[in-house]
Amino acid sequence: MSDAKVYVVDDDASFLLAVSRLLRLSGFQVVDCDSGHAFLALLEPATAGCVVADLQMPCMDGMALQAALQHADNPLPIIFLTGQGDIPTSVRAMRLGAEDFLTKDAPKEELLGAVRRALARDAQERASRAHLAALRQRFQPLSAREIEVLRHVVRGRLNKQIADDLGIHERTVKLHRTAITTKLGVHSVAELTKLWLEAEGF
Amino acid sequence: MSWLIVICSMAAAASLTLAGMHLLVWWQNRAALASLAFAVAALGVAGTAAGECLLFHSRTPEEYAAALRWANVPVTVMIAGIVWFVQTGFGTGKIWLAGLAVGLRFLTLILHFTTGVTAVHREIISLRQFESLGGSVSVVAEAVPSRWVFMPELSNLVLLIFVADATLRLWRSGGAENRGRALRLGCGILGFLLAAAGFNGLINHQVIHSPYLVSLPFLAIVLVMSYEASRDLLRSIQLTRELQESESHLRESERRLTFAAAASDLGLWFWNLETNVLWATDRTKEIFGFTPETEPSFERFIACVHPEDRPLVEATITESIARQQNFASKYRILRPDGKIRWIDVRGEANFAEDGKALSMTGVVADTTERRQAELETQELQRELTHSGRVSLLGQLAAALAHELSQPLAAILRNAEAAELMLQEPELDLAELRAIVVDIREDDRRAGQVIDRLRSLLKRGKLDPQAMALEAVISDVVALVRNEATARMVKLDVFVPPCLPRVLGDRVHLQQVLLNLIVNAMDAMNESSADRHRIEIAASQADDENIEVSVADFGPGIPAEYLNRLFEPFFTTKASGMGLGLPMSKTIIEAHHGRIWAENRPEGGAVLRFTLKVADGPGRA
Repeated sequence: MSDAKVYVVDDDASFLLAVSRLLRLSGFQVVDCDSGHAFLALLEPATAGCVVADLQMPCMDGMALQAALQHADNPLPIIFLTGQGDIPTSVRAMRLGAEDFLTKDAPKEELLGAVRRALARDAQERASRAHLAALRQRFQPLSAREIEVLRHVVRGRLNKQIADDLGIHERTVKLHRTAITTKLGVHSVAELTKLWLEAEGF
Repeated sequence: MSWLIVICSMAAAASLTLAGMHLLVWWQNRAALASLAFAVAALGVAGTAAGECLLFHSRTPEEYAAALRWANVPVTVMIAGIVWFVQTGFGTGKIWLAGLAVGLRFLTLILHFTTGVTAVHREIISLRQFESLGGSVSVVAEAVPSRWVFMPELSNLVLLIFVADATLRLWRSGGAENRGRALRLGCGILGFLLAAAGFNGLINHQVIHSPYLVSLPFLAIVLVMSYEASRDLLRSIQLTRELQESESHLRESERRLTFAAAASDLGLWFWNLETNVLWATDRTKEIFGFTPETEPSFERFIACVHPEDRPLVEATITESIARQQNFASKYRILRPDGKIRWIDVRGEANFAEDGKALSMTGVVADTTERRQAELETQELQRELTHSGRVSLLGQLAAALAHELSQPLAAILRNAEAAELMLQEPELDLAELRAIVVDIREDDRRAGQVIDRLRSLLKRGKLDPQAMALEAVISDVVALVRNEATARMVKLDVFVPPCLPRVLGDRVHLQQVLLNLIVNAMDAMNESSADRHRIEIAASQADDENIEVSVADFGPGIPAEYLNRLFEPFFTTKASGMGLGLPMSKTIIEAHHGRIWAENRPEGGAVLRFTLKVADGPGRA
C-alpha cells in the first residue's frame, strides 16, 4: 500500500491541486495529471494504485480515459468525479467497470473511502495477476509439443488416443508425459490438472 | 287551250303543295297555328284558282254565275286564312277588324247564293270569248249589276284596313326583326291585295271585261307568307341548334364545375331569392347531414346552423345582400345526427340593374378536420414554445451550475485538507497559507460566474477574451440541439476555417446567440416543416470586424417592426418579455459591435451582429 499511487486527473488546475492536497494529507501518494494523455504517459506497468478522474475534460474525457486504461498494461481501477452527476453517464461508467462515481462536492469520507476501496481492489487484482503469472511461469520450460500433449492429458485422454490424435507413437507420448511431470514437479494427473486449471490454461 | 288555264292550274298546284307542306308542319307541331292558317289560306288560293278555271270554261251565263258563286267559297276561306295568319303572325291586329273583315266576306258569300245570280250580278245576260295567250276563255259580255255589288269592295277595304293597321302597329313596336317582317309581309300582302281588289272591282263593275285572275295576286300573297313562314321555320331551326349548342356548353361547364367541386370536396348551391328556390348538390346536402333525396330549402339549411352561430350567419347574409358584397362565413352546424361540424361557406349575390338581389350562388366545405388539426397544431405550438423556454432556461442554468461547481468543489477540498492539516501535531503554515490563498481564488472564480449570471439580466461588466467564434457557436448549438430536434428545425453552421479569433465574453456571446436562435425557431412555428432551417454563419467583414448572422426561413419581420425590434418590452410573442433583443443589443454594443435585423429577399429574417477581431490591426 505504501508505494501505491493515486493519480488525480483533472483539467481544472485549482480543483486538481485541492484534491491532491487533500489526498496527500490523508496519507496517499498522489500524482497530479492535468489531462488524460498526461496520465497515460506517466503510467508505468508495475505501479500499483488507482485513478481519480474528472468525467468532463476536453480532448479526452473520463469515459475515453477509462476505455484507454482498460486496454493498458496496468488497468488501474478508476473513480470518476463529476460536476453534476447524471444517471445515464454514471450507469454507463459503472457498467464499464468504474470503481466509483462521485460528485466533486461529495463528502470527503466518501472520496477517501472510494480511494481506499479502489486501492484495495487494485492490490487484490494485482496479487491475483501476480499469482497467475507465477503459475504460468511454471509452464514456461515446457516445449510446444509438451503443451499440446498436456492439453490432451488434462482432458482425460489415454496415451493411445493422444498418439492417434497427434499422429505420433504411443511411446513418444509417454516420454512427453514424463518430461511434463518432471518439469512441473507434480506427481499425479490430478495434481497436473489442478495446476493447469489454476493457471487458466493458455 | 289558253295559257291562262295553265297558269291557274299551276297556281292551284303550287298552292296545294304549299298547303300540304304547312299542314304537315302543323301536324307535327300543333302549336304552330301560323302554319295551319297558312295552309288554310293556300288551300283557299288553290280552290280559287280551280274556280277561275271553271269560270274560264263556262259556256252559258248560268254556268258562269254558278262557277262564280262556288268560286267565292274558296275565296272566303282564303281571306279567312290570310286574316288568321296575319293575326297569329303579327300579333298586332285588331280582333274586331279581323272579325269584321271575315264577317263581311262571309256575308258576301251568302249574298252570292241568296240574291240575283251572284252577289254582284242581278243577271248575266251574255258571255263572250276573251282571246289571250294562245286561247280563249269566257268572260261576262253584258250583265245587270246587283245592288250588292259594293259588298266585295267593302269587305276588301276592311281587310286592307286590318292588314295596314296590323302592319303599322308591328312597325311601331320596333326591332329590326319586326320591322323587316312588317315591311315584307305587310307591304307584300297590302300591295297584292290592293291589286287583286282593284282588278276585281273593275271586273265586277264591268269597267273592264276581263277574266277574273284573283288567284294570281293571292298566290303572290301566299308566296310572301310562305317566305315569311319559312324564315320563321329556318330561324326556329337555327334557334334550336343554338339552344342545343348552348345547352351542351352549359352541360359541359356544369360537368366541369361538378367535377371540380367533387375533386375539392366542395358542395355547390344556388339560391333564387325571388322564388326562394334553393338548388344544392348532393355533397352540399351530405355536408349538412341530409340525404340526396331531401328537397333543399333555405329554411332547412339555416335551421342546421348551430344556435349560437345562427344570428351571425343571418346577419352576414343580410349584410352581403344589402351591401352587394360577397360573403364568407365559418360557422358550426348541428346535424340531424347530433354531430357538430365546422363548415366554411362562401357566396356571391347577383343583382339586377336596379340593385335588387336576384340570387345567391356559392360553395360550402366541411372544414371540421382542418379546423381540428389547426387547433391541435396551435396547442402543440404553445406547449412547444413553453417547454422550449423552460428547457432552454434549464440548459442555461445547467451550464452555469457546472461552471459554479468547479470552484465550489475546489474550495470544499481545500477546506477539508486544511482541517486535516490542523489535526497534525506540527502545523505547516506555508501550506495552510497556500490553501487559504487557493480558497480565496476559487471563491473569486465562483463570484465571477455569479456575476456573469447576474449580468445576463442586467448590464454588467464584460470579461472580454480572445476566443474562437466556432467554439462559442458550437457550444450554443449543442445547447439548443435537443430543442431544435424536438421542433424539427435544422441547424446549419457555416464558419470558415482560420477565422480570426474575436474579442468577447463567452457567456454573454452565448446568451446573444441563444436568443437569436430561439427567436428564429419561434419565427418558424407557422412555416411549413420543410422550411424549418436556421443558418448560423460567421465571416470576416473587414480587417477589424467579424460578422455573425442567424437567418431563418420564417415569414420575415413586418417592415414596421424592423426599427422597434430592439426596444425594451417590444414583443410580438404571446409569452415574450420583449427583453431578448434589447439585451443582445446591449451586449453587442458593449463589445463595440453593432446588431441589426433584415428581411432576406428570398424570405425569412436575418439578424446580424459584428464583433471585433481579437488580434486585429488595431491591436497588433
